[in-house]
Amino acid sequence: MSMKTTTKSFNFDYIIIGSGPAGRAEALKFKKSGKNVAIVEMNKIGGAEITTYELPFTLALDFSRIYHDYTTSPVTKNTPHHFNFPTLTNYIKKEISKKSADLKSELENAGIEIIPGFAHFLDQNTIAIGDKKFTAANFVLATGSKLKPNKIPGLDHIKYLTPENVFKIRKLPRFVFVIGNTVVSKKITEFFENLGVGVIRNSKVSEVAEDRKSKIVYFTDDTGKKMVRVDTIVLATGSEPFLDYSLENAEVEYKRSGIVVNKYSRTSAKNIYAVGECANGS
Amino acid sequence: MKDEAKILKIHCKALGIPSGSAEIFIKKSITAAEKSLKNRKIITKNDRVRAITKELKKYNKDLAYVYENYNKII
Repeated sequence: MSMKTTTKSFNFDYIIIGSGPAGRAEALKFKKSGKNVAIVEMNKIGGAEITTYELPFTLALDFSRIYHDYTTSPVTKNTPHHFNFPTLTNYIKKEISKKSADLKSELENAGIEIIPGFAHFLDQNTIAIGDKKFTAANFVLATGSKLKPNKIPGLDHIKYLTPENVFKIRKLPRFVFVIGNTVVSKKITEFFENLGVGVIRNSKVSEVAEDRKSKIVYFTDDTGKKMVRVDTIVLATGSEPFLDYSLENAEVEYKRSGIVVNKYSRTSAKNIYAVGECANGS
Repeated sequence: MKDEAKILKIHCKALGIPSGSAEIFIKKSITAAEKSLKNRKIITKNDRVRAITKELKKYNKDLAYVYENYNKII
């Protein structure tokens, strides 16, 4: 990417919004070329890769596969076995914090300023984080994606889990319904099945409800319409680019599929670039 | 947001929308818009207009269009 250098009136040469893999790579690249760089992150450093998807799912699935092999092996299946579920979830939480801290140190050691908080544009060169304003000559948007909203009737009135909080529960449920036909929904299904939990995974859900006993799911499968009672519902229907941070104020064009960029990752605003999952076509 | 409510009521009269129902959905739209912006401490006028327009579209698309574009209509 070729970009103009800063004038003295800006706080930074580059502000990267999002600390996922794409954002971190861009920040380190610009810092290496001698620019004054800051990275903004509203959650833990590392983005959804560390806090929601890659790391927690890898750890959870690894454990569940070992447990499944142990409980089904002819050699060990008859020996007493149990595990403490909160210990597993605490372990995942600690590993996430540790990895995030390592990534934060890497950025700080490189001389990149980390600004925690939610950023939104005021104009093409200014963002607001809380009650503070920051200016930069150029911006790189690496805001990734978020869970796609779902309009299943009844979903607004019940509590359900998502990929972001599925490993934060304190107690293993007995029966889970996973809504979705995505890679993430399949991983969640495998995780619970390996731990001996009854799981149904289906994307054709027509309605959900809740009564005193349990949650109720109405869905359709190959044999027709069905109803089932479950302890827990997990919504894993896919993600969409995260774009809700006043891109209009910066005159950045976007569609539902992402921020519109050219082959150099430049948006409709000359000093703003978009990379990763938030960019259209990525 | 009281100014926004006044402007919206004027647009409703111009569009011939009954004032009773207009008052109800204007209040709901502004409340929902304020809620969506409550985490932001610095808000531009455009942020407010977009948030209110987004909520108004659920009730009356014509009013939402007029409100979004009234400064641009010559």
